[in-house]
Amino acid sequence: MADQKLELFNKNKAKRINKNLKKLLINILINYTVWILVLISSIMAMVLVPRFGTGKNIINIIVHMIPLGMTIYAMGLCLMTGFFDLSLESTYAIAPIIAVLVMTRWAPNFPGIVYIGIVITMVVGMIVGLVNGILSVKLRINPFLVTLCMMLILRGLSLFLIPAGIFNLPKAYIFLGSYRILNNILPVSVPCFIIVIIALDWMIRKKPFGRHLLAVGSNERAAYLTGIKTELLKITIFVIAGMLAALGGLIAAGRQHAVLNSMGTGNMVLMFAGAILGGVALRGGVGSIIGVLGGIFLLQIVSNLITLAKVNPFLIQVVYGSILLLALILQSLRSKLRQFID
Amino acid sequence: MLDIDNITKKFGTIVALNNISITFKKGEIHGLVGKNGAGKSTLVDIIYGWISPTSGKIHINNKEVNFQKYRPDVAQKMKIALVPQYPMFAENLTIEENLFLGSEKVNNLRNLDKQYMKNKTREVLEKVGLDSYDPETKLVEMSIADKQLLNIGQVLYLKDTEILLLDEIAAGLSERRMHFISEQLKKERKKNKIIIYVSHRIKEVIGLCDRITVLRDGDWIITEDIQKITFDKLTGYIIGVDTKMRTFGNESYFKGYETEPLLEVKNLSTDHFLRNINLKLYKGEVLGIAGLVGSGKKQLMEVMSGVIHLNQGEIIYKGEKVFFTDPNTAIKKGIVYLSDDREGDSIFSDFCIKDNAVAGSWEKISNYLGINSKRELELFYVISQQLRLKYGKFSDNIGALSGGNRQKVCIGRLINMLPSIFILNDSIKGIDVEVKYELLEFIREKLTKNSAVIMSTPGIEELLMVADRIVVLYNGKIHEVIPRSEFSEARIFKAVQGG
Repeated sequence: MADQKLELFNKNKAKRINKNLKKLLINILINYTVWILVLISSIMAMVLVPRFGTGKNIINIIVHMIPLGMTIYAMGLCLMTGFFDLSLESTYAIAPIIAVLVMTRWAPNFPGIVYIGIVITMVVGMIVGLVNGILSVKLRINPFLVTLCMMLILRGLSLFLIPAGIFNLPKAYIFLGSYRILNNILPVSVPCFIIVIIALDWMIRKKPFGRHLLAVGSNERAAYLTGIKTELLKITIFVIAGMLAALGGLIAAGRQHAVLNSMGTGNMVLMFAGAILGGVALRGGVGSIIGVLGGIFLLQIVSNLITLAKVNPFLIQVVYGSILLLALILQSLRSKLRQFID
Repeated sequence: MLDIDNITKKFGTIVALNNISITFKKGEIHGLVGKNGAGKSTLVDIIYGWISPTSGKIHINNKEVNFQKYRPDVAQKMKIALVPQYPMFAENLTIEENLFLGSEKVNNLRNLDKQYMKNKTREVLEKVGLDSYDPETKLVEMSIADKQLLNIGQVLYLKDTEILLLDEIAAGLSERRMHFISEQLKKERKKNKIIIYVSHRIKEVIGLCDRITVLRDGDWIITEDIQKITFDKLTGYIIGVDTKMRTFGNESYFKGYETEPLLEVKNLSTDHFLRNINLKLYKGEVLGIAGLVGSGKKQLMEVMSGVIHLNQGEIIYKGEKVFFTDPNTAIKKGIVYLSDDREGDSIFSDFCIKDNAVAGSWEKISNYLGINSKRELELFYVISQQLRLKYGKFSDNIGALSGGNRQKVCIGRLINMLPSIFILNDSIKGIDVEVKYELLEFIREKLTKNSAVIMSTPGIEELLMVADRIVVLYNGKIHEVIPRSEFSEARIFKAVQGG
């Protein structure tokens, strides 16, 4: 009798553990979809291309993903708040271009101009964001259209200003992009990126500003009625996004020791892909910084893999598109999975 | 002839219509009146084919309607037309395109006959008094009232209709416009049409209709010729025997009218709606606001909470003159507002229960390191206990809660803002009865402790239960302020109707 009871108890316990485990697994699958994809693709990569797992290659992946990663974060913030900023890829070019022009042509002899140049890069990004913000928030023009125009204007301006590109940038200006610390191993842009991630994560998860941002993305009218200053908030997000894109441009210019008028061309699609892969909802209100980091990683791993495997580089867009589609399918399955748990 | 024969409609256990029989005659305007939830709209929906009755028959011109196949498109073929309370048009198309949508006129070459349609559109616009509009105007540029007029014109003059259902069309229309429409309807009556006119506005119904049917709580009360009806008689039929008012103990109502008022509104006016509003609100009081749709009650509440701006007049709050540019400034001063559209204006559907309840208070509970999550949970637990919130985990999505509990979360959000004045616009709308009375009791007992409440409710009974005074708005003006000693359903009902 007692044996039977014990057996039943054990059975139930096993069942319960089983159920909890299932719940946990599904929860992980729902909330960290992108990281699972990162894991799978890395394992696949290591099996297929042995060179992928070397320390040098991993640092290479990270270094390459930082400039684009900054703009993906910029787009991610915009999407979470419920709008697009298409002009980020042009801000990414115009900010370092103007700064470099000031440093090398317009005012080369001004004392400390190199350091001022770094500041100018950021300020240009902020100004672009501010203009975008004021036009779309205060004048109520659709941000999609405002930033589309801005994208064209700034790209055209870049082409006009430096038809050929400028090389041999001042040393201080390329510090962030190409200087390496710790026995010449760790690029200085890595700690810089980590600081940005921590700051953004802290802002989204811990500061009232972050909650307000998601609230505006979720239901702008409700946010307004709750006393959130929605207009100011949206302009601020535009400015932060512009600044992040400019920072990305600064690092990219440093890495390649040059500014080119084609910097960032076509990155807009990748920005959307990275943010959405990272779990940001296109309609706003949902998203996390760690998730977006996964999206950035995934894009870069795939691109790196394609380079290493010497696949025809034209196929890369096919792969990006397929991955994005996969992520979207998984996202749409989320609600069904949720029901499955309950 | 339209014959309604013993129609019964049940939604689950709720009886919306109970054995209704009415005969609508040709060439009459037939008024259908009753309180909210009397069953008027259900009856209209059945006639138009949106829903099928549980039992009973309908005969149209002596032909029985087969409910298995009866849908709005069939109804339209049988020359029945409906003008809904909120007209549905394709907003980005022009007036002309909208009027002929689905029934475009073509010429011999099967091309659109633009000239004919344009002329016809002009004709319709003229007939409904909208001749200031060009046929090429897009619908987005029209006000709701104008769209409604357009809808009426479309149904009256473009479609060949025999039975016309008008559901609460007067809600957004001005008196002048309504008068104009009445004249047009009276002309149409002569063409042997049946016009069924549903309305809350009893004065208009009496002025317009030939016969009137009164429904109350799903029951047929009376169908009477207009000659035998007066305003008082009709309100009597609509309200029925004054049911015993549910009340709280006498001690829970407010008495200190000698004290300094907390809020005073002087000569307040807004652009379109409110004219010359004067009122006082005292700490500890529940001030009810009653009025029909379009009477300006929503606008009054929104002006006081900073959602819309006032044009003239002033608001004096705690002895100083205030001006609210947006809800934020009002909330900082201690005036919070809950909209009547819970899903559209209050709920963050992506957030969890706790975040929905604490939204708007995050700045208060954070320091330079960020939000203090312990205090956040404290805030949530306090209000969830106060309001007896039923929920699984605080981190569940807000969608997991029932409507009533979601509303509790929204009220909790307001409480967390520690206000002096709560402005609650129809905040017990669309929640089940049990939670409704629980909330009313909570409002009466708890919210008046340190603050004042301004509120409206969908029906009069609830207001009678909680309010200390009721301000009745009619056409944007204060019609009357009724003290608790004079409360009765009939009294308020008449005042709301402008009588």
